[in-house]
Amino acid sequence: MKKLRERSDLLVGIVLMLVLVAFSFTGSVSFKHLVMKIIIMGLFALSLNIQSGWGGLRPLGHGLMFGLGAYTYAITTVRMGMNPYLAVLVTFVFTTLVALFLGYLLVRKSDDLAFSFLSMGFCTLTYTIILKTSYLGVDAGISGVPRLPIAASDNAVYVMTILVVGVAVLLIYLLSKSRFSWIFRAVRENKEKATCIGVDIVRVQLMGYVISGLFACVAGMLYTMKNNGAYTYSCSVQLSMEALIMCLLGGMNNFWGPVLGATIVTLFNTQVTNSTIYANFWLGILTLFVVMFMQGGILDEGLHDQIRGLLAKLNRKGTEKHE
Amino acid sequence: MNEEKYILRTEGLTKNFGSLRAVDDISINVPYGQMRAVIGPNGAGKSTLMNLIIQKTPPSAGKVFLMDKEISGIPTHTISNMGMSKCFQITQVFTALTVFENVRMSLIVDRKKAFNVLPVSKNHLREETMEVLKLIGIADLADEVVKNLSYGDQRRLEIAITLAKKPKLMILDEPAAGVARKESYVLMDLVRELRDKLDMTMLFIEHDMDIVWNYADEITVMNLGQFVASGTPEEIRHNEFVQKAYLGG
Repeated sequence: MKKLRERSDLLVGIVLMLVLVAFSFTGSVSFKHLVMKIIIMGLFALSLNIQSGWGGLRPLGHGLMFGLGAYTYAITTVRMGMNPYLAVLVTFVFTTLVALFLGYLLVRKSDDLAFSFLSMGFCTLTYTIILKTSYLGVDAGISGVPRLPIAASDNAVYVMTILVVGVAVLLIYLLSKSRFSWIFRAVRENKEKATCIGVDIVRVQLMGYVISGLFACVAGMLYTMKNNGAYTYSCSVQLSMEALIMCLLGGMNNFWGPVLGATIVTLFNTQVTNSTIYANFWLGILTLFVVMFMQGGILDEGLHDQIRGLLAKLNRKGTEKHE
Repeated sequence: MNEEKYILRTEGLTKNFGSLRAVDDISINVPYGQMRAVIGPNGAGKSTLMNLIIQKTPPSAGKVFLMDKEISGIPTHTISNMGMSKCFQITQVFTALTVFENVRMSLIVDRKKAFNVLPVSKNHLREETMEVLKLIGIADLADEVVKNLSYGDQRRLEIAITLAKKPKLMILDEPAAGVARKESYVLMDLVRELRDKLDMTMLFIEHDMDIVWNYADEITVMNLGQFVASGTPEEIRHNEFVQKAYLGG
C-alpha cells in the first residue's frame, strides 16, 4: 500500500495517457483540439512549477519561453523555409541560449521582487517587439506554420502531442526525484543555509530556469503546430499570469497540481469566452478566490486536512443535535 | 612565523560601515586542532569578524587565509567546499524537511552531486547520513520534520549538517545561545569530542564565560572592533585590562 502511494503520481500519469490515447479513436476534431490545448497548457504549467513550486521563484514573464518556442519554430519554417525537424532543433538551441542569457541576468538579483518584474519586463518587451515588427507577424501573428511531416493530419498531431507531452511529463517526474531538485527546493527553503553548505545559489537557480524554459519551449512549439500558427498570446504576460494561476489553483506542492489547474483554467477560458465578453473579469474573480481561500491549491494536503476537520466538526454537531 | 601550523590567519582585517569602524585591523592566527573562543561585549565586532572570515561580508581592508590559501573575495559557498563551515547564532536549518533530509542535503553537496538530474531512490545515502546522525546522537529523530523539534535538537541538527561536509574548521556563533545551561554543556562536550575524533579546529563566539573557561584552548578578546588580548584562559582571567573592560573585575 505504501509503495502504491509512493508511485501514485506515476500511476496517475499512466492512466491519463491511456485515456488520452483512447480519445484518439473516439473524439471529434474540436474535442481533440480542446484536449490538446489542455495537455499543452498542463505541460506549460508544469514547466513553470519547476521554477515556482520547486525553486520558489516567481517569474511573471514565463510566457516568454513559451513564445520563444512558438515564434522561433514559426519563423524558421515559414520565413526561412527550414525543414520542420531542423527547425525544432534550432528552436531548442536558440531557446537554450536565450534562457541562459536571460536567466543569468535574472537570478543574479538576489531580490525576489526584482526577479519577478524583470521577467515580466523581458516578456513585455518581446511582446511589444513582435507587435510592432511585420516580419514577426505584428498582431496577426504568423500563420501557415507547417506541422512535422509525421504529424500532418489532425489525428496524427493529436497522437504526437500526447506522446511528446507524455515523454516531457515523464522527464519532469524523473527530474523531481533527482538530487538537483532536492537542492533546488532546499534553496527555496533557506538560501542562507544552502550557501553555507556549499550550494552555488546562482548556478542552481539558473539551471532551474533553463530547464523550466526548455519544457515551456516544447509546449510553445506544440501549440504552434496545433494551431498552424504563432500568435501574440503565446508571448504575453496574460499567458504568464494564467500559468501562475494554474499552478496556484491546482497546487504547487503536488506533482499533478499544475496539470489540474491547467485543465480548470483552460476549460474556464474556453467556456467563459464562448458565453461572455467579461471573461477576464471572471478570471480575476477566480484568481482572488484561489489566493484568498486556497493558497495551497486543490491538491494541497493542508486543504484536505482542513476539509476533513470541517466535515468532522459538522458531523460532531449533527450527532450532538441528534442526542 | 611558521604559517603552515595555522589553519586560519587574518591580516589587518577591517570593516567600515559608513563612518563606523566595526572591525579594526584584526590579525589572528588559529593553529590546527585548537578550540579558540572570541569574546567581547555586545558591539565588539565579534559577529562581524566571523562574517568577514567566511566572506559573507566583504572586508574594507585586510586578508584572510584558510590553510595558507588566501580566501579574500572567494564566495561563501566556495569557502564551505574548501573546508570551513559555520553554525549560526540563530539556528539555520531546512525546517520543512526531515532531519534525515537536512543532513543528506549536505552530503549531496559534499559529493558534488548537486547538479545531478538523474532520479535516485528516497533512501539514497541512507547509511552515510545515519552515520552522521549517530555521531551527533539524533539518529532516532531521523524521520522527524525539523519544525517539530526542540530548539536544542535543532542546534544539534545544525552541527550535524555542518559536520556532514567534513570541515577542517568549524565556526560556531554562540553555540550555547537559547539553550538551557545543562544542555549547553552537553553540546560543548559534543563539539570538543568532534574536534578530537575528527581532527577539526573550532572557532567560537560565546558570552557565557563558564563555557569559555571550560572549553577554550585560547581566548581572543575584542572591544569596540579592536583586538584587546589573546591567551590561555588562565592568562586572560588575570589580564587586568580585560578584567576592567569586560569581566567586571
